[in-house]
Amino acid sequence: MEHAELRLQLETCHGQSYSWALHCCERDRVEAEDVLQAAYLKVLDGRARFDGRSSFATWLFAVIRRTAADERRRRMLRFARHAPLRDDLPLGGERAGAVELSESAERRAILEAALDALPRRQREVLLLVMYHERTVEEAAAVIGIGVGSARTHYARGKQRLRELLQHSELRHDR
Amino acid sequence: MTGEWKDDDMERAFAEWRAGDARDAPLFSATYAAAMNAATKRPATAPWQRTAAAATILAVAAGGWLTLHERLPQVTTRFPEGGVPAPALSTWRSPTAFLLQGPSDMLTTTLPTISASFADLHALGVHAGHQRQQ
Repeated sequence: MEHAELRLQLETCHGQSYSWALHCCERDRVEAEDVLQAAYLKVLDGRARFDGRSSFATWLFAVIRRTAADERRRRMLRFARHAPLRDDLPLGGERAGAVELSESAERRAILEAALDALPRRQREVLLLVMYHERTVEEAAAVIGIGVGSARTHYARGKQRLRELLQHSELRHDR
Repeated sequence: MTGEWKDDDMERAFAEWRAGDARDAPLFSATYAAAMNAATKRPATAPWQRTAAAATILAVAAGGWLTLHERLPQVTTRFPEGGVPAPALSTWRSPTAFLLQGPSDMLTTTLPTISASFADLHALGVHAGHQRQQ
């Protein structure tokens, strides 16, 4: 693929790629930007090559996912080696100022919390299909699992997500 | 706040979420420029360099294996030099084999020779016909 064409494709997918990087980095914006930059670097220097077996966006999502996993592993190793143990770090799940959120922000917060409660595979498939509007087949290609397995994760995840949303403490009204 | 989440509600929530994230996305030009910068700083690895690296690794591994292979027989020949000849595997016996030996081993490990027993009886004056008469 030509350099100019590659740039155009990356630019077209940039918004979606950033959102996917955010999900792969547990919504850490700084880490997501680093991962996205590292993924672009892999594409530009040829370490990741698009072979045309799927759509460009699907392939790029897979590259971002792998880059995020590598980055996470590297950080964990670094943390294990250097970081002192700290008890004052806040535990996940608490969101500051949640009470004062607007209705849509509240809905989003509920949705995020419910998604966080799902097993990782189910969450990934649901995000790819419902958030990024990929097909189940594309989601399977991004994650690197079989289509049948992805369908199962999608069906179970959606069912579980609906249950969690209905039983969430903060329900929305219409 | 009460109510049920239907598919439409979930889709709407996901769409709102997507729109919010899209607003926060960094500029493409900034991310791309940073990646390009890193790409130019990064020394490019040509295919021949990868081949050379693989060949070096193979050569080192082969050298190591050969060295090890040459050393191994020297280690095993040290025993005969020390005056302890290595026994053949077929003649080797366990150091504790004597524990299995007992006084009645002869009965189980040897076969009686019938002709010799017959000769012994004959020497004692016992005849087959005499036995039958009795």
